Amino acid sequence: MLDKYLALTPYSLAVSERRAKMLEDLNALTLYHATNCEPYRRILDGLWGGQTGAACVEDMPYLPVSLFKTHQLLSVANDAVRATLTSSGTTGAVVSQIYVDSDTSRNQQLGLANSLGHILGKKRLPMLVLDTDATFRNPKYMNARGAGVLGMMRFGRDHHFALTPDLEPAVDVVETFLDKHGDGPFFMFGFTFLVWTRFFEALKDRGLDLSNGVLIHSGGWKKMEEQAVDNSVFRARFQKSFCLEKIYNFYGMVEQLGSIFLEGPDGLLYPPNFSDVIIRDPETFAPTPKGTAGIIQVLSLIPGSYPGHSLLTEDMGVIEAVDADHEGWNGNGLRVIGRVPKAELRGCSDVVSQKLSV
Amino acid sequence: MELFTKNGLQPIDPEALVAQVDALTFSGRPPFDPKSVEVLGDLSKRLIRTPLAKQAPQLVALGFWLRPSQLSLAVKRFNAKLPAEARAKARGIALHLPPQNVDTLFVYSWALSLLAGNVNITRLPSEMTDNLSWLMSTISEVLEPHGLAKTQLFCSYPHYSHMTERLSSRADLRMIWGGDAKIASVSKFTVRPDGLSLGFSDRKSFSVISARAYAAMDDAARDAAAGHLYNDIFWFDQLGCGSPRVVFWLGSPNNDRQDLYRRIDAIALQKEYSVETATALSKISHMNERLASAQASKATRYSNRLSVLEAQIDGTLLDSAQGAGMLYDVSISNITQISPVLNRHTQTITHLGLSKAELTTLIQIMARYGGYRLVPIGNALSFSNVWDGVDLMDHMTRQLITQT
Repeated sequence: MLDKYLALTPYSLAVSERRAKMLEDLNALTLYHATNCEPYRRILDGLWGGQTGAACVEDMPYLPVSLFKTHQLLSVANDAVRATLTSSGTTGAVVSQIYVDSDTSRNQQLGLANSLGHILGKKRLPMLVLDTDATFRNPKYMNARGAGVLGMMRFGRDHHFALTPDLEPAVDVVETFLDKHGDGPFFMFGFTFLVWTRFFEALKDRGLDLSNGVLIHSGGWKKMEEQAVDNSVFRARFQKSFCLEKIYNFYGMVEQLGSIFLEGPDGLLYPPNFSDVIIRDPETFAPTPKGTAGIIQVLSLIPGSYPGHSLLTEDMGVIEAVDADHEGWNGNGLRVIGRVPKAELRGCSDVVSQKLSV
Repeated sequence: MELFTKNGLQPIDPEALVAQVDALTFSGRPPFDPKSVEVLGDLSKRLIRTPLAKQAPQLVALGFWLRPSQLSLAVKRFNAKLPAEARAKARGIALHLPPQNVDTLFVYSWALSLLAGNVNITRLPSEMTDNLSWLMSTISEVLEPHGLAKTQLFCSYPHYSHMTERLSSRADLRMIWGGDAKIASVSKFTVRPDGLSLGFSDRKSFSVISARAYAAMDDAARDAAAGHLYNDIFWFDQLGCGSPRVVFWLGSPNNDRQDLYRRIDAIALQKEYSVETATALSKISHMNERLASAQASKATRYSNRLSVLEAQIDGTLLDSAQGAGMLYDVSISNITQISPVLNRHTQTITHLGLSKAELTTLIQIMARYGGYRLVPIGNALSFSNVWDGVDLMDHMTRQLITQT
């Protein structure tokens, strides 16, 4: 199913063409999951009138992403599950459980390779990981971050780790890496907040030359806002301190691993050709036009072993460009605004927490 | 730590607050002192005329509840119950711990206790909303001319200040509102050895509608019913103890089900009931979860305000407190079928169109299995002197037995 999308220039499909192509494949996934995942079938019957053939992409049934935290959703036999992915979450928080079989796992790899290949090239580059290897070496700490680092490491070689297990900068490692590889193209990956607080802040005055590097980072801007750093500040500071220009932020989630919304030349986040985004009005849940903010719904053809091909996230965003064709980038250019703010309801029953009560 | 004064909330030293409370022992007045009645009458008038009526109809409801005619009924009932050789007196110092996020409940608890003649210490809800701050300055204005401000303390303090513990040890009466967990955590601290602590625990409520009666109603009657149900459901974001979580249709409603919910939804829209995005998403998640678990068969999202899940009767039906306009819809053919949802946590059953015989059966099963109030729709959240089966005025007073 993915092949015909992967054969195209990554991030090139215009919205109408993309949706015309994807509709049939998305409907096929809906039908497949409805046949093979009983809880999904019940949701389709109870909330969507049993519909499996949407007339357009906007009419596709969607699941709230939170459902993967409360329910075991899989569309393959238990013994076909090769890996269970979990979302990142603060300690004690309930995490998503995503069940991946070998086909879906392969498609995740293909999807990711297609996206990353577009900016890194076909050859694997030397890689400076802006994190610690402890995040995946110690099974006790193995989490979504570790899995993310490991997943990205497949796309690089001669891995060096820029942070120590205590998240201090490993200055000697960074210098060794740059001595060895700094004169040619190299690849860096890290999570936005760690990249900023542990790598940039600690090393910004050391006169490092990262001008041949490509930095890919992800992880959300919520904590960054507290530091008054947005994407443009982030880019400007890296450029000034390290002469680093090739920086790509991305938006993605474990529930649709393999589909990454990659930062295009205009700074907006673009879905890969086998994926799309719809913004929904928080009052009517109808699709909003370009420029109007709402709740982000993500669509992807990758999830085969679990019904995750159409998901309503808990993030707000806005489509700021459509088929802008900057350097060949087309589709919906998304800006992620952030998490939907928490709401507080009234009620007779006090929640006894640290904050309230006694 | 802060104390409400005529100049608003003012910081106060914990020791000063405790000293002020200590000085109030034996400062009570006789029950139904004309001064208390006047204060509450004055407050009632101002609440009924509140400029915040549109955004906070609960203030107007409170005002009506405090009308002198209403209060004199309570007095009459109380006196009628009092044995001939007994005289009522105030209980003493009362500590009110209302829910931290409902902005009017504390007034009911406090007003009855004022009427009983008690000295009152009320812990205010944690967030000073516009409604609360208007309400507090109004209370302060009505107390001041009667010289009662000194014996009616309203304070605010953080949980780590140990004030609940210190104030409890001085209390002759403690009223704990806010659910099981709150009662458990406050009950670690004792009241005076001869004091009384009352806890109002988590309660669940629902509504029973006769499909036959609804089918016979004309448009005006249906709109009126929807208006009552709107109030019952949406005041307090459907999280009040009396807020209905389930609508049981007695008989087959067929398309009247959608007819009623559309009317309720239209009123919610007209009343500008707003739902924050996180709440809307949480309701969508809830519907998906219940469908996925086969705990509901059909979900209808009328709008962001009202969603309805069609379900079968089962003992856990009332356990979910989603709130903000998430109704369960269940059809039954016989009123006795609701027995499995009745238990000691059941509070209010609101009814519409039930026959006398059906109500009689309902009362019988409530007496046996659970439930404290059976009232017509529209009254789910009306406060009553008898709350969760407890006669409040009885407990807010003591009796002096005289044999001469």
